[in-house]
Amino acid sequence: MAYKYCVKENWGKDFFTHEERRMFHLEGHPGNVWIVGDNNHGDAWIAKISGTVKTKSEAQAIVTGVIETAQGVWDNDNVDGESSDEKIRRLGSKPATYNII
Amino acid sequence: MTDFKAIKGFTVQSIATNPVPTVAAWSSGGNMNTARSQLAGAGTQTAGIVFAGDTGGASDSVDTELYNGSSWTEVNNLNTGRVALAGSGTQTATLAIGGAPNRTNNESFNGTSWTEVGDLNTGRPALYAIGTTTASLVFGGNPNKNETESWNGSAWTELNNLNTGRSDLSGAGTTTAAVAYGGEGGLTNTEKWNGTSWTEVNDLPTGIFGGWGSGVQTNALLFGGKTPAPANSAVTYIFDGTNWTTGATMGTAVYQPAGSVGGTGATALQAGGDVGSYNAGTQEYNNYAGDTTQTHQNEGQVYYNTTTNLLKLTATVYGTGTWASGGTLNTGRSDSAASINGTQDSSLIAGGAGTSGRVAIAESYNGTSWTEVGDLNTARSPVAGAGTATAMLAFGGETPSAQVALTEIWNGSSWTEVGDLNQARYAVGGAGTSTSALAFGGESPVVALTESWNGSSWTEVADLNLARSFLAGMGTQTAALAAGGSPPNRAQTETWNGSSWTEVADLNTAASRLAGAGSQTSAIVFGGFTPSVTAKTESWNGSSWTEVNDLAAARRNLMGTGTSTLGLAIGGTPDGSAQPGATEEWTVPATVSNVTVASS
Repeated sequence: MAYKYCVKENWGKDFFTHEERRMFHLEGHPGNVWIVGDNNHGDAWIAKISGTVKTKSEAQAIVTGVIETAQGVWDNDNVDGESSDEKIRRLGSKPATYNII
Repeated sequence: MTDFKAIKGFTVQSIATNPVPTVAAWSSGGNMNTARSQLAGAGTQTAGIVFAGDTGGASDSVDTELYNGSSWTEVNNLNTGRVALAGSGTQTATLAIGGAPNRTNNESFNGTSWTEVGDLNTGRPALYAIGTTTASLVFGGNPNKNETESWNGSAWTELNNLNTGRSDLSGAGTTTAAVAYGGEGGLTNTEKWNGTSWTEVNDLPTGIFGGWGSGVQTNALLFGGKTPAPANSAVTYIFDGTNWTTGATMGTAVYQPAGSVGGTGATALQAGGDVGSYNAGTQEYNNYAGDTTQTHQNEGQVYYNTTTNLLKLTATVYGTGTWASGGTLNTGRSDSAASINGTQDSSLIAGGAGTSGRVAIAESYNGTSWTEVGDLNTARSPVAGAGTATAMLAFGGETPSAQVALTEIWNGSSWTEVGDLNQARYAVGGAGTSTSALAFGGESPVVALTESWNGSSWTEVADLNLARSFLAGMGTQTAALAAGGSPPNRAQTETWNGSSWTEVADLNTAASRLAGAGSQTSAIVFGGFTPSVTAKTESWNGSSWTEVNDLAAARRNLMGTGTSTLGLAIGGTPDGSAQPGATEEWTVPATVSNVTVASS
């Protein structure tokens, strides 16, 4: 399956509808990156939200950048005397970068 | 042969035709052979015809198809391919009128083939037609045409103009009592025709263009089309001769479809159009309210259809659930207390962890947007919840200094501290109401402890079989469901019967920091950590979990409320630092249908 990539902040209600979810693939990622099924319905949705179209590598860079920032926040959030296991229990695991589809 | 009465001990009603719905509704019909938009149609819901249109090909379509109420059959082509034309008549006596570019062509179909007959006086596309092959009326057209012409079976005669010229309009009625409405640019204008002239009457509530119309002047329908936004419309508007009201919503919003012509407004057909691509789909409208000639559906009714010789049951049939975006929290956060037994359009969250730390803020959702209401007395997270938007309980959690046993109750306007949990802890599972709740699991350390709330105090009851925290809780004080949790990520599910927990079927994917909605016998869980942040959704039928459609955006430490068919996923975090506050709404479409009872 082919995908398109765009950036747009979710404005809330009706940003994506049930009908749109049935018509094309849609994934939201950190940095307001959206992976959109490459069909007429996906194109219409990108136009509806006035999404800024990105290449896959541009989208990947945005997602990775946001997660790396989150990793820095996680690294710097420490409590005196807290073990690494306790930190994971408190904050959840350290955010990990990943490859988008 | 043993009859049904001998087996079940009661008789079954025998009827020749299936019962009809008591409320107006759209349902899907058979697909056309050729997907297209800007086509035209005529006939009825059970004897329809469509022709011409835009298929995306190099030339305009000449294809003609006939509908028998369930499937389409290709028949002989039009002589002249075109788009944005009009249609009138029946399946066996049809007119194909005008079209782009500024065509005067008029063809007549006799049930077998098309023959060119008398041309329009003014060639134009995007006009509308009503009537029969011996008495039709056309009006409007592109660009902003106000011309009205009448067909007597052999020639067109110009009559008095519309007051407001327009294209892409719709209409209904007869040559002596018609109504024209909507138009390009999102016009709301409605005009009534008395056989001689047009009179402006009450406007449509929303401007619509490129929709389809059918019915009579006193029960006219408008469905599909585009709003000024522009966005495809799925709304049905009904004109009673004086005022417009909003009717049933179509399953699929569609622009520039075709459909049935005339009729009584009780039934209609929509075919083709633009749904972001060329559409082959068909939808059928039925409104049998007040029709005493029909047997109306009665959910749960078993009957025997003497025509098809099938035993039938009228029952709710559920479709495939999907997540759509809902309103965004004013304060993005994770690990809040949620009104676990709230609804998709009435729910509450309180406390949790925002981007700058723990918060006391509570917000209420009305199905569209979140509004801040009274704060908790103590900011904390991860805090558990039970109850509804107007009567909620928040318990446990952690402040910057310690994990707490605090319990607060919401009366619809403010929070009051009430009796503490017996053991301070956070990341607890919750179920029940503000006066009869259940708290199970949590940490630290991770426990299996279960406590029961009677409206004033907590009492320790039987433990979970598996100690865990960051789990999903659903259900009531006497019939609860616990799913997932950690450490490590768990797939275990347990049910509570009011006195003990029983292990039942595992989740398909072990997860913690997930959320849930629903009851002990019908629930969903969604999101969480698996050990990556996930968008997965699983559906519980009382005995097993099934993976269903994902959230649009993966997140963990989110909140849930509602039911297994109308749920809400609230907040959470995609990466542990950002708290974007997005809400997604889970809806499983449900229709009352007549289903065949299997013989084995």
